[in-house]
Amino acid sequence: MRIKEKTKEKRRRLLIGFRKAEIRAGYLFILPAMLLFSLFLWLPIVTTFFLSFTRWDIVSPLQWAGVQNYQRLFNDEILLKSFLNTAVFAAGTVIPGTVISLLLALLVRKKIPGITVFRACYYVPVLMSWVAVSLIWLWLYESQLGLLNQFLQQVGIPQQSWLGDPKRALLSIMVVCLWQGVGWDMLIFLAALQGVPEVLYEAAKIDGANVWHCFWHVTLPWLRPVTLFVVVGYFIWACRMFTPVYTMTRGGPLYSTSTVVYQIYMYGFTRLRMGLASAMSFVLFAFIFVASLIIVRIMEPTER
Amino acid sequence: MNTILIRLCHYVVLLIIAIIMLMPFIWMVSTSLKPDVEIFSLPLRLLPKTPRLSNFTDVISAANFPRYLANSFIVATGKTILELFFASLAGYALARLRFPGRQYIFLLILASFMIPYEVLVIPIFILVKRMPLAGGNNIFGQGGTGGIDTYWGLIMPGALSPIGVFLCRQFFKALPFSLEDAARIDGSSEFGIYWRIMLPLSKPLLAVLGILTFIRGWNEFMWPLLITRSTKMKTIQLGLATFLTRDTINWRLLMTACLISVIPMILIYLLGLKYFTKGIAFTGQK
Repeated sequence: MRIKEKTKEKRRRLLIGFRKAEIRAGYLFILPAMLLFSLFLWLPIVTTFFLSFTRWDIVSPLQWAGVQNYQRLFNDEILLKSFLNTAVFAAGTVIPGTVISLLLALLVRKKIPGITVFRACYYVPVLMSWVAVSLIWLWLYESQLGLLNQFLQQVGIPQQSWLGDPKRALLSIMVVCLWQGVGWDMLIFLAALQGVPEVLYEAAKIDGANVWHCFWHVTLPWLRPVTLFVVVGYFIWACRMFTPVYTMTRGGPLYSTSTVVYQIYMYGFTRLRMGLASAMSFVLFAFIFVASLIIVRIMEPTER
Repeated sequence: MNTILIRLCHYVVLLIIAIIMLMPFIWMVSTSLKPDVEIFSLPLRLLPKTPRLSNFTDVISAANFPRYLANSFIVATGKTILELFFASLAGYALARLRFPGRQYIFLLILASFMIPYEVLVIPIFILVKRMPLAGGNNIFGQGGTGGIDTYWGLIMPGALSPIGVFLCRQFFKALPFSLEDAARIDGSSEFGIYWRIMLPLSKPLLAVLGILTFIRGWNEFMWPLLITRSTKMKTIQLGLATFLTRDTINWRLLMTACLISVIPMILIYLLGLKYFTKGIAFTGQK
């Protein structure tokens, strides 16, 4: 009897030892990640908030500025235009981007011979850096020698100024961004499409569904959660736009392509107005956060 | 007959779209093979009359270009190593180890997806500049320039991403139950389980995550723009942008430099394609 109790006790202690080691390891293993996230993600948000109430150029001492930065934000023409441009950019790329990515995914879904080549081709723009993409399109958009204008001339359309016309420049950049980005979400949609159970289609066909019915009543509902993910993804991506603006137009002409992040760069790092730039950063962050919640609410109204 | 027609139309559409997607890239390659004479003469041709490779040697022997490439390589590799190690460690812990609060921590990391780093550049810049005991700083982080214009300043911020931790956690969650228990009974430490059992099983995950992180590090622009001061620390993306600041843009060299900067990414993607499409094969418990 005693021996049985002794071994039971030993086993109990052993298992407790394992549990303790497991808990210790758990905290230890996530420690580096938590540290890095705290330093470079969570703490900076708080710091941005506080800095937005100051006036600082790093070299001189910190000055308290109250709500001056926010007042400047809502009264400055250029800054307001930048916010507007960013909103237009987001609105103008999210829906076309999502639709195009979905169409591409549907197009490359079937495993016909050579389809992997096409999938890879559509993904190549995503691999390229924003700088490379911007430079190539700068060359394509060139007024005299650019491929686009030359091509249009061949079909009888006169040369256009793609990046020099204030009414057109933002649209030109949006096209570039869409070109670069649709491949990424195409892959996301593709992965989701490959997860649709065949039985759903079979059941629908038994009920007499044709191709369109299959798509509308089986495929689309299945894609609902992924579509939400893609839409929010595009939205945040659009709000972050900086490099194409910096490389192609420097915010011009006449601030028609200036985005919020570009102004954060200009005010924060060329004019050293850290307080004002922080205010812009925080407003953008709040905008992205709130807008994302709204999008989720709109697209996913049912509480699960 | 009908199916053949549909199939043909399908291929035609695929081809047209492929041309649209690849045309800018093809045009860049075409320009990089042409002499100035051909680039500036009309009508434009796709295939150069007198192709030449000397553009490539011109660019590579241009001031600092190899240095830019090396810097990009160092930064991308640094970020990849950090991401692979720490994200897999954290992802494994969140997926397989049971400790109090892990659900909340995971939700917190998940919510951090949405935070774009562009809105955080200012505090991160200040943090790097005021890093104690770095780059001439005292213990309070004052006096010197901290991590500005250093490799650490380039690599550390944004090295680890919430998406990385998320992907790792999802992957480890899908592995068979109680792999670890057998190892524990055999006397292995928790870290030993991670290092000797989990990591080898996660090769496809590490390949995909590694490739994505490397590409991300190579293509990064805004942060290197802000954190580098001297020419010798610039990455290739910054180096490309400097071709623009002259009064007349040298399109020939610019397009060639662009191509050189893009080729490594395409190569890596093609090499990694095998891992992207390979199924995940578990070996289960041994």
